[in-house]
Amino acid sequence: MKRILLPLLVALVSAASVASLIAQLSTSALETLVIQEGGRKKPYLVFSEETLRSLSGKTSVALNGTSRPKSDAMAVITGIWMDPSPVWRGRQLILLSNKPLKKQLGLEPARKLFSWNELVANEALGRELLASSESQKRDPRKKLVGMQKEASDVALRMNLLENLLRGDSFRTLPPASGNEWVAPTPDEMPLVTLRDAWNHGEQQLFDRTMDEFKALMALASAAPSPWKISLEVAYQKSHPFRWAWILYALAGVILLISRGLWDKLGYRIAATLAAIGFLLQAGGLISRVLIAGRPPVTNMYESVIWVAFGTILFALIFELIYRAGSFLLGAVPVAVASLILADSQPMILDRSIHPLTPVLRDNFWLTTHVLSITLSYAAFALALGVAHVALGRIIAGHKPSDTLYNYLYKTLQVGVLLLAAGTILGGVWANYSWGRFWDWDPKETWALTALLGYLFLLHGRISGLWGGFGLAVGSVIAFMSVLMAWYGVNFVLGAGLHSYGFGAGGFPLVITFVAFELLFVLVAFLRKRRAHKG
Amino acid sequence: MSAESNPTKRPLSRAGMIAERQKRYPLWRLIHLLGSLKLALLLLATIAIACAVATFTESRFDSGVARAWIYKAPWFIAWLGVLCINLFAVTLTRWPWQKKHTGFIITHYGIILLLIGAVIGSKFGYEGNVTLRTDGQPQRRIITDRSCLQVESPADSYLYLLPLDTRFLNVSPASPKYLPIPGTSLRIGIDAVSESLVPEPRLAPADGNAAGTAILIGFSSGMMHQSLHVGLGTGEGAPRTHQFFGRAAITLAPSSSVLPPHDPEEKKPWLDLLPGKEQGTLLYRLGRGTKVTSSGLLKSGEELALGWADWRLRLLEIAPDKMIVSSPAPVEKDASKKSDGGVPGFHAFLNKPGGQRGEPAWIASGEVVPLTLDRDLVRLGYGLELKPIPFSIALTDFQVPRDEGTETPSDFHATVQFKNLKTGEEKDGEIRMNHPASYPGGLLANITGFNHKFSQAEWNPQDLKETTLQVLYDPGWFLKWVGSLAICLGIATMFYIRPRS
Repeated sequence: MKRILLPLLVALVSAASVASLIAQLSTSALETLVIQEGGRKKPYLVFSEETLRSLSGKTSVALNGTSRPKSDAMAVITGIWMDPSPVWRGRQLILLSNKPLKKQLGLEPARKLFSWNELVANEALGRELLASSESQKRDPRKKLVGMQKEASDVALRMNLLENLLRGDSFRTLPPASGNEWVAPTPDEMPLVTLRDAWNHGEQQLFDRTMDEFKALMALASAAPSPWKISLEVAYQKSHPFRWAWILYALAGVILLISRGLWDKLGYRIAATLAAIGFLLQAGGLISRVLIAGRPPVTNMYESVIWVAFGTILFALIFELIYRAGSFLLGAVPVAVASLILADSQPMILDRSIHPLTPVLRDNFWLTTHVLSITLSYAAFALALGVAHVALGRIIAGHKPSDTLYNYLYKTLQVGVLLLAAGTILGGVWANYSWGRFWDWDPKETWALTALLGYLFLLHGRISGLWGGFGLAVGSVIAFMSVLMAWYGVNFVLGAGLHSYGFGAGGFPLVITFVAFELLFVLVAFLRKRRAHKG
Repeated sequence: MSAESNPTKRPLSRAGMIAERQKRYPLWRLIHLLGSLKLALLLLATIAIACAVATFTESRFDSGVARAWIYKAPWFIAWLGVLCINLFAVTLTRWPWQKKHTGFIITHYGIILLLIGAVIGSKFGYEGNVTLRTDGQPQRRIITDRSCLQVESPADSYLYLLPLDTRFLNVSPASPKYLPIPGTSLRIGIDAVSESLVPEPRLAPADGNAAGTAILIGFSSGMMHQSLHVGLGTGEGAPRTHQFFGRAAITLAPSSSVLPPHDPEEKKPWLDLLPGKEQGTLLYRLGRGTKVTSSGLLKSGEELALGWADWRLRLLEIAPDKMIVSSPAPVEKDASKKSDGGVPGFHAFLNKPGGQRGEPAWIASGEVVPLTLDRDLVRLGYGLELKPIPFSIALTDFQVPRDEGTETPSDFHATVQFKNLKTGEEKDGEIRMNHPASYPGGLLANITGFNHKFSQAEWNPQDLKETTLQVLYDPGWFLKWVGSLAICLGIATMFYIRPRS
C-alpha cells in the first residue's frame, strides 16, 4: 500500500506546483536570453518554441491532458528548466501521431500526445527501438523507414525531454575557450537564484536576476549583436507571413466582388492591400535573411514562402504595366494557399533556421541558382493562377479575351527564361561543387523535364497547333511537372544529390491538389465543348 | 509571333520566296522537313517523358539502370542527335536571317553548342575520384567511374583494358559472351555474372608451416535471414580470429593449453575454440569479459546455439593439417541483404575456337585471377578503371571546421600539392566546398577545360587524415559554357528585346 501511495502523493503535490507556478510567473524577461543550440546562437524565445515543437509538434500544449488553458512554449520549457521535477515525465508532452505505430503499441488512437512514463513502460516500443537500432548498427548509412523511423523519432523526443530535465539543453554560458557554450549547473549562480525566485513566485527577483545575467552575457566576446537577437524575437512574435496572406485574401475578395460594380475603386483598394501584404512579406523575408545571413530559399518551408512572394511580385509588376486585375486575381489564391500551408504544417515544413550543409554555403550560387529556379516556379504558379482565371471564365459561361491569353503567354515567358537560366546556373555551380556540369541527378532531370514541358507548350502555341484555351490547359498540366521538380524529387523520389532538401509528408495533400486541378481542367474542357456546340 | 509580310502585296515576298524554294529544290524541302515544328514538338515531348520515366526508374532501381536504359542508351543519344539536326535545320528555314531572328538563332545554336560540348566531354574527358591521406604517398592515378577488364595477354605480356560492366551483361551458361584476347587465338568466355560475390573459405591441403589445425564453421540466423561461413586455422598465414559483425570475437587457439586472453573491461561476448583431444572434435567456451558463460565439446556436423540473438553455429569441417583458402562465390541477393558488402564480378573461363575450355573461376571486382588452358596462362583483373594523370597530387593538410557547439561539419579544407612529373615543378592548391583546385590552373586552362579539377567529395568522420576528391577533366567545358550563356541571352533577347523597325 505504501509503495503505491508514495508516488501518487508525490505526483499530486508536484502536479499542483507545476500548474500554479506556470500560471504565476511571467517569462518575458527570458525572451532575449541568448542560447546556443543546433549550431547557432538564438533567442530563448525561439529556442523554446522550436524545442516544444520538436517535442510536441506545436508551440502550446495543455499540460493537464485536454483541459485548457494551454501553456505556451516559454511557460513549458522555462517550467522544465526552473523546476525539473519528475512530474514532467507524467505530462502528455511527447508527440506520437503515426496511427499504425499507435495501433502496434496498443496506445489510444485518438491521442497524439503521450507522457514519457507511458512510453517508457511500453514494451512494444522498446522492441521496435531495439529493431531499429539493430538495423542502424548493421548499416549506419541506411535510412530508417516506416514504423522504425516513427519509433526512433519518438525515442529522440523522449531523449530531448531527458536533456531538458537534466538541464543540458540550456547552453547559455559562453565557454572560456572553444566555441561550445555550456549550460549552467544547478549550483551555479544565476540558476540558483532564478530557481529560488521561480519556486517562491518572486517575479521581481526573477526578472532582475535574468536582466543582470543577460547584461553580463552581452559582454562576452562570443555574444551575437543585440539587434540580431531583438530582430529575431520580433520576427518570431509578429508572424509577418500570416498577416500577408490575410491581406492578400482580402485583396482577392474585394477584386472578385467589385467586378462590374465599382471596378476602379475595387481595383485600387485590392492593389493597395496586396502591396501592403507584399511589403509585410518582404519584411519577413528580409528579417530571415538578416538573421540567417543567407538567401531565404534553403528548405521547403522557405521555398514555399518565397514562391508565394514571387507570385505576388510578378503579379504586381504586370499590374503596374497592364492594370489588368487578372494577374492579381490569379496570384492571390496561389499565394494565400502557399502561405496557409507554410503556416499550418510545421511538422512537414520546418520553419526553424538551421545552419546549412557545407555545399550550400555559397551565397553567390544560392542567390543566382536557387533564386532564379524558385522565381521560375513563382512565374509558373502565376501562370497557373491566370490560367485558372481564364478557365474559370469558361466554366462560368464567358469567353476569355485574347488579351487574357496574351497575359498568360507573357507570364509563361518569364518562367521559361528563369527556369532555363536557373537550370544552367545549377550546372555551372555543380561543376564547381560536385565536379561535374550535368549528371542526370533527379532534381536536374526534373528541372529539365519541366522546362521541356513548357517549351512544348509555347512551341505548340507559336505553331498554331493550339490556341489560348490550349495554352491555359497546358499551363495547369505543366505545373504538375514543376510540383514534381519542386516537391516530388525531395519528398517522393528521395534520390539524388539534392538530399539536403529531402523531407517527408504532405503526399495526400499534393495528390488531392493534382486530382482537383485535373478535374478542373476536365470541367472547363467539357464546358467549352458544350458552348462550342451550342 | 509577328506575321510574315503579306504575299499578295509583292510577287516574291519573304514568305513567298520561302515557299517557292521548297517547291523548286528538294534540299530546301528536306531542310524544312528536318526543321519542322512538328518534329520539334515530338522531340520535346519524348525527351521530357523519357527523363520523367528515368527518374522513377532510378528511384525504383538505381541510377545505373536509369543510365543504361535511358540517359546513356544509344537510342537516347541518337535522339539528342536528331534534336541537334532539328535545331540547326530550323535556323536554316529562316534564311535569309533578319534582325528579329537574333535571339532565336542565338538560343538554338546555344543548345547545339551545349550538346556538342557534352559529347566532347564524355568522349575525351573523364570523371573519377582520388583518395588522399596526409600521411600517404602522392597519387598519380585516379579511379574513374568506368568498370573495365584488365587482361594480361600471354602473347606479349601487355595489359589490355576492355570496358566491361557486368551489371548490363546478359549472359547464361547456355549463351556465354566471348571476348578475344589480343595477339592470341584465345577467348575469354563469360557465362554468369553476380552483383554480390563474397569470399567463401574452404580447407585445402598444406604442408610445412602453412599446415595447422583448420576449421570451417557455419553461422545461421533465421531472424536475420542470414548465414555465413568462417574459416579459422592455426597454420602460418591463416586467420585465427573472426570479428563477428564487430559485435563478438571468435578465436581459434592452437591448443587447449594456450587460452586466449580476455579483457575484463570488454563488453563484447566472445567464443574461444580449441582443438579437442579426440580428432575431429572442438572444445568451445562462450563468455563475456573474463567470465565463461558456457563450454562444451562439438563434433563435426554438430550445432550450437550461441545465445547471440538466434545465431547458431555448426562445425562443418575440422582437420589437423590443412590451411584456409578462400575464393569468391556468389551469394543469393535479395532486398534485405543489399548491405552485405559483396562485390560485383563474373564467372569466366578460357576458350579456344576449337571448343576447348579451361577451368572456370569467379572473378571478383578488385582481384587478379589467373585462368589457364593447356599451357596458356592469362591473368584477369576486373574493377574500376585506374587512369594515370600527368602529375602527382599529395594531401598536405585536411581540416574540418564544425558548426559552433556541434559535430556537424561547416566546411572542408584540403591543402594539396601538385607536382609536374616531367619538370618536377610544384604547385600548391586549396580545396574548399564550392572552391575546387585545378591543375595546371590559370585562366586559359580554366576557360577551355583542359584542366584537372579537384572538388571535395567525401570524408571519413573516423579518420581526419583522409579525404576523397572528385576529379574532372572536361575538354568540352568551353562549349558548354558558351552554349549556356547563349541560351540564356538568346531567350532574353527573343522575349524582351524588339528590333527597331
